[in-house]
Amino acid sequence: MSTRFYLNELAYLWKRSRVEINFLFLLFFLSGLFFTLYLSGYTYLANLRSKVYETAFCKVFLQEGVPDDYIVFLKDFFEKDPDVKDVRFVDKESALKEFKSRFPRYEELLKLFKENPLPINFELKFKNELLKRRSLEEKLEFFSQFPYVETVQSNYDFVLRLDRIINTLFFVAVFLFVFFTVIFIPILSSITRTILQKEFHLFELIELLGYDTKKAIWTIGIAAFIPAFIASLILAGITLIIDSVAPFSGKLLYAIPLFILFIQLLVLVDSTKP
Amino acid sequence: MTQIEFKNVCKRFSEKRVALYDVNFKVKKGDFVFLVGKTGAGKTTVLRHIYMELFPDEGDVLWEGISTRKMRKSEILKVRRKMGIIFQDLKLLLNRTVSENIEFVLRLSGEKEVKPRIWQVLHNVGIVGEAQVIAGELSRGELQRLAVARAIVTSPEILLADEPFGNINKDDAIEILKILMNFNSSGSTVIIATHNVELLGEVKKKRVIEIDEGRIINEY
Repeated sequence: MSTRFYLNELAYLWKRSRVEINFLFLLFFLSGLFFTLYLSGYTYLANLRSKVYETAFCKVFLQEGVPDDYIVFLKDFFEKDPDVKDVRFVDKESALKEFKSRFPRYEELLKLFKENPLPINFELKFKNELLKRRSLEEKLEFFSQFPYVETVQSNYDFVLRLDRIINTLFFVAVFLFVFFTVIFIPILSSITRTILQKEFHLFELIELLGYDTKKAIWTIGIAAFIPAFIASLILAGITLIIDSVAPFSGKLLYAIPLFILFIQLLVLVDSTKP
Repeated sequence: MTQIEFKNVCKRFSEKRVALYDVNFKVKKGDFVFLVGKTGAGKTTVLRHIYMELFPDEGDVLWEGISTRKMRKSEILKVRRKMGIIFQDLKLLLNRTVSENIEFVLRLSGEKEVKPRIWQVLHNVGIVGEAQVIAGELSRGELQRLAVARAIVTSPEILLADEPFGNINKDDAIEILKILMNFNSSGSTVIIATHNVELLGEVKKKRVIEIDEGRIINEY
């Protein structure tokens, strides 16, 4: 049998079912793009969280007029704490310098004050086990009760907020995915069947003319598979770009084009049954 | 040389409905055979046994001496490739053009010189002017000619025609009969199942097998 015949049939099928085929492609591409971007955002935040986790950190802000010997006492106390890795004392001048370098745009704001408004503080880096044990909160609570301590801030608050966002994103993603799959599969199945059933009469004719129908079924199957294949290819390209520019590994994103190919294959096998 | 032989063939579609009953006949290579009888007499069933869509419940249908029941699927397909079939419902691709309908068969058979063959066969059946017309837009007579063209384009050894004169006027029927006679003159076997006995007189050298209620009642 001629390869030309199957190429011809492929072309006919594309011509006859171009509306369904374009719709299938759009369905795959847009849903795949949505999930790729969603998963990118999720991976980015998860990655950010793990980076924050790498350094357990807090700032102990002191009130104005704290005696120097108390500062020395505190420094000594912090350094002896077994959970503290590093202690840095930031006086008013250092704080001002740091503010100017970090927020040059707001430098003018400081001119509104007669005196330097930035409080003196201690920057403490903890051993990371402390964060993992989640006992940092207790430690911060303990520090905040020291005399002359104005307030204590840590990156733990940020991690908690991040955790909440990530968990919400995860549950929304699971819900969307289940909802989407439940709707998606019947739509996909129906469109694929519409494409294939236009061709079923050919199988009977081919067999009556004395030829095997296997290759014809394959041809039509391939034609119905092409939209998913092209959409997956483009999504894999997008993933490749994200993977190369994003500050996290995008390997997980390849699961989406693979899932699209898998789901179309399943639907196709089911739809080729007359 | 005997090409087809029916030996005591019986076929039942159900307990009450016997389609063929003890049918015996032989067809030699190059024969021009009319299977005649009323609608429902069993003509189509005979043809379907020849192209092996059906197999006898009793008796045997032999293709060049080999029982069709003993053939594997690949062998059946191989034999079908030696046949040209004009189906009662034509089985044309109505959403394709006339030439695409012929091209379908030629490409399927792996034929490389497609265009000249299409032109030639459409010329032979008299619808060369309709080559680019969508088959669904043709008249019944033109559709019959297209079905004939598709059946003969691969130069089969045997042509099976199921009611090729159905629903067309006498002039068109005679034209189609002439095409089939012409095809037969090249040495191929032609078997026509028809209820239209008026046309039998148009063919001089022929065999007629008359069927009624699944039995052969007359043969000459």
